Amino acid sequence: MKPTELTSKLQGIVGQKFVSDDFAVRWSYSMDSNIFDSINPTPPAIVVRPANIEELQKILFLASKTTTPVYVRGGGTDAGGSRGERILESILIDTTRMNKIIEVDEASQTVTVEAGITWGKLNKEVEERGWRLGFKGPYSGYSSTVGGSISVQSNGYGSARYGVCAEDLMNLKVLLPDGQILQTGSAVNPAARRFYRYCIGPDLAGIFVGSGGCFGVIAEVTLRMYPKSVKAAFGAYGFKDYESCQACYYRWLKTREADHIAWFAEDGLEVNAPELSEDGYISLLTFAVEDQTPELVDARRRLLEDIAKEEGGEALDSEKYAKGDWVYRFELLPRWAAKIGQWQWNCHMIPAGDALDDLKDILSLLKAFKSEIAKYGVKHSTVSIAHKNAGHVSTSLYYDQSNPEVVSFVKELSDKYAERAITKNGGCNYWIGKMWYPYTIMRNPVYRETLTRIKKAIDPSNIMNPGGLALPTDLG
Amino acid sequence: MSVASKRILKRRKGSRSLSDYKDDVYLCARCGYCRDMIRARDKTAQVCPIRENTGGFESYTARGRNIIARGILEGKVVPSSLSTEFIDSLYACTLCGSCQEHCLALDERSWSRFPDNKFSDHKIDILGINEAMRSAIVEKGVPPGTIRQVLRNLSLHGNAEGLPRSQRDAYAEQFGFPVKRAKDERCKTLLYPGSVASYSERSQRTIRAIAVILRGAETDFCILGSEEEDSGADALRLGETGLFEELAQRNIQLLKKYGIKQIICLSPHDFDTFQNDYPVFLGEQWTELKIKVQHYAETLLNLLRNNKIHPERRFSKMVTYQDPCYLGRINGLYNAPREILRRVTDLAEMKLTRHNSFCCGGGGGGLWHDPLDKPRLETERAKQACATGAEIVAVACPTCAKMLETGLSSIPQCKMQVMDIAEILLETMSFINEPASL
Repeated sequence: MKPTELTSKLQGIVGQKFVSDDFAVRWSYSMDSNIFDSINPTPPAIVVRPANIEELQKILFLASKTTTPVYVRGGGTDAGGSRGERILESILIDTTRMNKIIEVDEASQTVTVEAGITWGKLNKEVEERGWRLGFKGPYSGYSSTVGGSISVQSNGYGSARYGVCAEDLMNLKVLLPDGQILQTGSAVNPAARRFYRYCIGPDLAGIFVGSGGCFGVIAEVTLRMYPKSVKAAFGAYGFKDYESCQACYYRWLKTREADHIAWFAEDGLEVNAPELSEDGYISLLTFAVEDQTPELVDARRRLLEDIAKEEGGEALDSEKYAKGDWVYRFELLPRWAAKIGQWQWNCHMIPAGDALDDLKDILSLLKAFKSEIAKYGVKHSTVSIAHKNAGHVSTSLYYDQSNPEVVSFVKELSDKYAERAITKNGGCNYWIGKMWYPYTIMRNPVYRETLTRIKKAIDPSNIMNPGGLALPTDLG
Repeated sequence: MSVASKRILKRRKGSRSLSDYKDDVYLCARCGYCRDMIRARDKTAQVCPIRENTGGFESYTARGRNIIARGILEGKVVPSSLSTEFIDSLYACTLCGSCQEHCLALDERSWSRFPDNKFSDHKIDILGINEAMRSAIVEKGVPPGTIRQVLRNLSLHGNAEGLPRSQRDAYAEQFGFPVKRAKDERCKTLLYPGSVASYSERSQRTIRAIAVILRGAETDFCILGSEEEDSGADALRLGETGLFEELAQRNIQLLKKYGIKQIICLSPHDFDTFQNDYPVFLGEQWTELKIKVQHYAETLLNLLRNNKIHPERRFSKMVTYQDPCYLGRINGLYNAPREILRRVTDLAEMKLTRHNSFCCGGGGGGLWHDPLDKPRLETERAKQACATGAEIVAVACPTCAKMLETGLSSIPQCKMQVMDIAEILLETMSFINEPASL
């Protein structure tokens, strides 16, 4: 079907106002916030903004009937390039009109939302109702959507205690490529509330978590809520040797008592707190704790403080070095980025006990490229953010995105990082996306074959984010 | 003035060539906070009023337009090929500055952890980028018809609506006392109503109120009368840089000729342009005149603080206040109008206020340009004002006055009225109806 004909049919579904095949409109969707789109911006053929699940269903009926590729976009903040190489003759579904809270169910302590709601809005509305979220959102959280985060397995604020976004996921409502609506979790039973994930049978939600929109469109999400916090406490500790810092980091994680833990390595200090480097510190460890009573907060804070002291951490000004991370969460990356121009975020997961070896290896990689890094004016900051039993290690590269040579170098350095993290250090990528495609071949062959079968079964025409899974077949 | 306002004003450029905005375009990290930043820790919400109320595509937002601007700079998007749909969306933006205010590229206000970083060089001039894109559209001769007409009127008649120059100072007949004309008597302080207020029946009450108060305070001031020229603010905002420069030259000649040393502006848009655009576009030609530019809210507040005027009774109606974008967000002047109001009445703030304030819809060409899906911001803002329960919505801008009156007229159940802060202040003074006896 020609785009104009398709456009007209889509207008019949959502109204003329919410469909466009205009070049400038399409071009404005050609980039998410990742380096891959900077290098190769690709506009879709049509952009459509459905308002509800009924419109979404009709769009997928149409796409399925016409075998038109579909890409789904939430806040447009995807840092990993999870979209496959975009086929020009495609529909991009912008989900951000589907942004309502459907239900705050106090009986089941859950909140159900449309997938296009932003983390900023969700956090605010939940807190206004006297609750809070465990996982509060990824680093771009004000503007990024809940559906997008489920699709890319976001890590972020609250992960130290509550895990990634999907670990509080109870139910999903997903539009399959043929337009059918799949409900997962307890609400498969029409008589049941959306309160429990693991029931009825296999956990089908898991197929869609981290799938990058390759199996369907997430339309509704049910998340667990927690009692609202009344107090928060913070800690910041400087370390002059890495081994002590690793010991403290490991023990902090093991307690599961911090809501947020960040380990800034030496390059992170040079960029963000040079005065600490000058004082001889090579690492900064920070924590944030919040809870429903002051006594709980104080008890958890003391536990973490005691560990830090036992491991030789020197207490620093927590107001200065730890509080901002938590209070102004979601606000750090844009500022960091704009110091120079843009950030390329390289990140992976590593077991808590292996964080130091991995971190040292990443730092040695950066040192190997020291002269090029200086030549191209790239700054870097390596940080490990805790995620329960794992460390989320990331090196942010801040670079001038107006200079193609610099962009090319940053891409090369990112590739090296990914190679090192996955092949040598035993890390794992939690996003799918272009950064990791060269290493998807390493997936276990049975895993790969099973994934291919699932893709074929759910999306036989391969219309959902074609190429997004980087499977070595024409599917996915 | 807020830190954000200071920083962005520092980045104002004396050009609207897109290539001069390259640094700004490439500073954007595409986080999307310029279009959507609702946060629990404060009242920030509805960052982009246009996105919230239109088709809402990325191209309506600062981030999307930045991506298009980048495409133009990289030769991947050709301005002359841009569609009417996009151009309409570009001109649907009211340049309210909310996106710029909420852009987190190095806003140090909440940057407490690493205070040693000095970010004074960076803050993305989003409005400048928009105006530069409009400038490219004007250069290609393809702005919307209404905008073309406005620019033609500004060029030929010195006002956007093409009204006769001879009627420009008709407002002075309402004063009830003779007012100095610069051409007849020398004076150093100029009351500059500007194009919108001069021809607006509604704003004539405001001009009169200011004039009566100034006279009551024994301030020596004059007007330019029918000689007054448009400041060029609208020409610049609409992308006609050449016309702006021409109007600015005409103004400079007039101000020089009459030895004006202080301009009291009625419109925040004119105030902003005299204060911030003239210095960067005209350089020494402007700065050597050493003209002090003030918005009348500051003037009136100074008179109050210096006991030059004396409110004698409370204004009896509950008042809410609309922050004009170009007074508040763009120039950081939030307190002066509020202090005036608080001295004479009770003020009930709207939910979206100060740096989170919601635009009346009239800026950036919104007063005239009416594309198909243009959101009715004036109605939305009027609803927000009505929700306070106040009887009066106070304004400090003739454009806000016009727009909010229109907005309120579409909400019959709300009996709220629009009054200017000067009108409210005047009502509390004894010489309210007796200017001739002063």
